[in-house]
Amino acid sequence: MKHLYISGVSTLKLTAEKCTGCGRCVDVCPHGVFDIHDHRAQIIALDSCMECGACSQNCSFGALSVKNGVGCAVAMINGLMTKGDPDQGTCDCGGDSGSCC
Amino acid sequence: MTLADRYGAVMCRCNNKFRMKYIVAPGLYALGKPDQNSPVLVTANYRLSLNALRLSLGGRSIWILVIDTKGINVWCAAGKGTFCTNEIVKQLSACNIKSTLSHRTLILPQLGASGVSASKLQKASGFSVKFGPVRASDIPAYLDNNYTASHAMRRVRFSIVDRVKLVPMETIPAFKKVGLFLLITAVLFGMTRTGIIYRQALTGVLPLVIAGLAALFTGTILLPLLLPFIPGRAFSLKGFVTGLLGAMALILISPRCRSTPFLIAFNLVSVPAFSSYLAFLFTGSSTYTSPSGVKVELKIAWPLYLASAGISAILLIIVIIRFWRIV
Repeated sequence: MKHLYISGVSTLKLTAEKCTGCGRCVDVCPHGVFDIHDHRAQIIALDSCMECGACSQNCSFGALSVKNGVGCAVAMINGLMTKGDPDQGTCDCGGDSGSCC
Repeated sequence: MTLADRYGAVMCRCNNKFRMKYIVAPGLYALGKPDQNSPVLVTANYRLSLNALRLSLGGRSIWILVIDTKGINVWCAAGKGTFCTNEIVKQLSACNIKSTLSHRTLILPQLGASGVSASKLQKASGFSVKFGPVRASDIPAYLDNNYTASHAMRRVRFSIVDRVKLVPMETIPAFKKVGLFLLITAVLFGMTRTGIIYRQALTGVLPLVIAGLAALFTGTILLPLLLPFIPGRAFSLKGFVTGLLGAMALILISPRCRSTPFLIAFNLVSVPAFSSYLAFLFTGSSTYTSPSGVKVELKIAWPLYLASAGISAILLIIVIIRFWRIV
């Protein structure tokens, strides 16, 4: 059974004019978000995007952008509690305790 | 796989202290009898990661470059920024790998891609990068198929087996916190003018022990196991659903858990809320939640958690005071 998370929230953006159709995004995406159509990348499953940043990090042509991060509640709660900002937190992985990503 | 490997694999799923020390030294490892033409695979210095590689590549001759990720697996380390371009460059030169090889190609795990820029790595090291499949078990097929991975090999899954393995690390830390809370509550129940009465404490706290175990069960066991079948997409909502069912079952089955209206109200508020919170924490262990989505959940669920905690605390105080009057 396919897992589906909250839809319509991904910050992934594709600038098709910059795309050369190299296919690297198809290779690195763990959720099959991209496909190559007519020698250009296409977003075919935006709601499957988990914003890991693998595609934007590896697009040599700057055609992809995403506000990447880790979808981890522990990290965001830590950020909220210690710095008042969910984006500033890290999870407990690598520390002494807690659950892990 | 040796007995020690199996022991390590089980312990890593149960004990965080053990897991954080389950590491290997970074550096270049030889599997079989690799030569200057053999492929080079890159991985993290978490022993489970290296073991997965080693065991799926049995019988082949391959170089394995282990980089320092502080003992964290490839995907989490890539997300945290320790499985990164610079670390690979550093390890390449520390091992003086160029003199060992006749080729200039590295095979990276696909899940390392969120931490590594292939083009920057090539510029900095002279090595071109190929991204292998997600799972180590698919690497032999990937190598035999001229370094190409099928669509299925490129997808992350989150099967029932994957989820079962995560249950102990969800349940055990939560269980410790609940245990501490129940201990304090038991003392409150047992208080009299002449001191704490053991038997009275036990009688009073018993319904709360049942409620706590119910929330742990629905939030950290039922939720991971039934994840795709539970209604809702938000983890907090899924956990609320399982928790509400748990609370209702509790009230229906156990007369102790419905002895007063306040206890019924406490169960109906605290069990679903706590179960929802525990489920929300599971986002970090899952393989498909986006930070934007988690932030949406946090925005809606956090005020509700605080309100539920406040209401639960008031109801609990009423339950305790009424209990004192009766005994």
